[in-house]
Amino acid sequence: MTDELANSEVPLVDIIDRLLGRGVVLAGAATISVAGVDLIELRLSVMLASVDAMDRALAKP
Amino acid sequence: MRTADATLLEPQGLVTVGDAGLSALASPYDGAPTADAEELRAHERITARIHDAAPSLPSRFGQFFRDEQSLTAALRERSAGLLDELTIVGDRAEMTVTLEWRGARPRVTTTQYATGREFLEAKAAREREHKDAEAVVARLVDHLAVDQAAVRQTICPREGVAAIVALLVARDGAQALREKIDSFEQRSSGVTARVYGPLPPYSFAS
Repeated sequence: MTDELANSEVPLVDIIDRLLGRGVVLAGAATISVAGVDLIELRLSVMLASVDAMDRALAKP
Repeated sequence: MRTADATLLEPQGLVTVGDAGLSALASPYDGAPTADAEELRAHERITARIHDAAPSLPSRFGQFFRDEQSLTAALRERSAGLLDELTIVGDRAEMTVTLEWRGARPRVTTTQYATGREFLEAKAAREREHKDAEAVVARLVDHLAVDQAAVRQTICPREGVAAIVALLVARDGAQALREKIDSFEQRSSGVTARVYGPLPPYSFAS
């Protein structure tokens, strides 16, 4: 078995599968530019967490 | 992570938008970046850093909001369901297992067949591979003795790969899971297993 602890070691093909095919979808449409061609326009990448947890995390010095 | 264990999360350029008990962290961009390896890995690094700091649901790459108001509106629309998902996921993390066939198993991808026989043989081969992959995953899940609700699987995602299996596990259970998967691989003559994680729960956020 091969263990991959650091994200940088994860093959790109697996990252593409995970990042483009999974995760929360809030927006109905997206546009990303691939090789100079605007396929999907990207302005914000989003992470969701509870406000309570984020407030605590962000408040720490 | 557990609330008591929450560590410092520096904003590091992220903006925070909150509504109805949820908060979204977003990275502003000037223009549409290219979806290359650097951008994808950056997205994954940010997602991992946040999930390390607090329970969170990772977003799919490439979502576009023109401003904070549109993001807030989208968040409000889905807040109840997302809060439920956050509760279910809790402070657990995702471990991903990529099961690859040990022997060459070329996949017929063409849609052009010279004869009906070729078409039927290719169809039968695809069905055999799919069935064999499902059986491997079933054996893995049985070997790991994990709850089916904590398993997501993708069968035959690409040539050479039998399945990608995502498992939702407690962070302190990651090493034990690796050992079990190692044991499974040693017993299995059909597949090898590559394990990634702990990762943010991409496969358990919808």
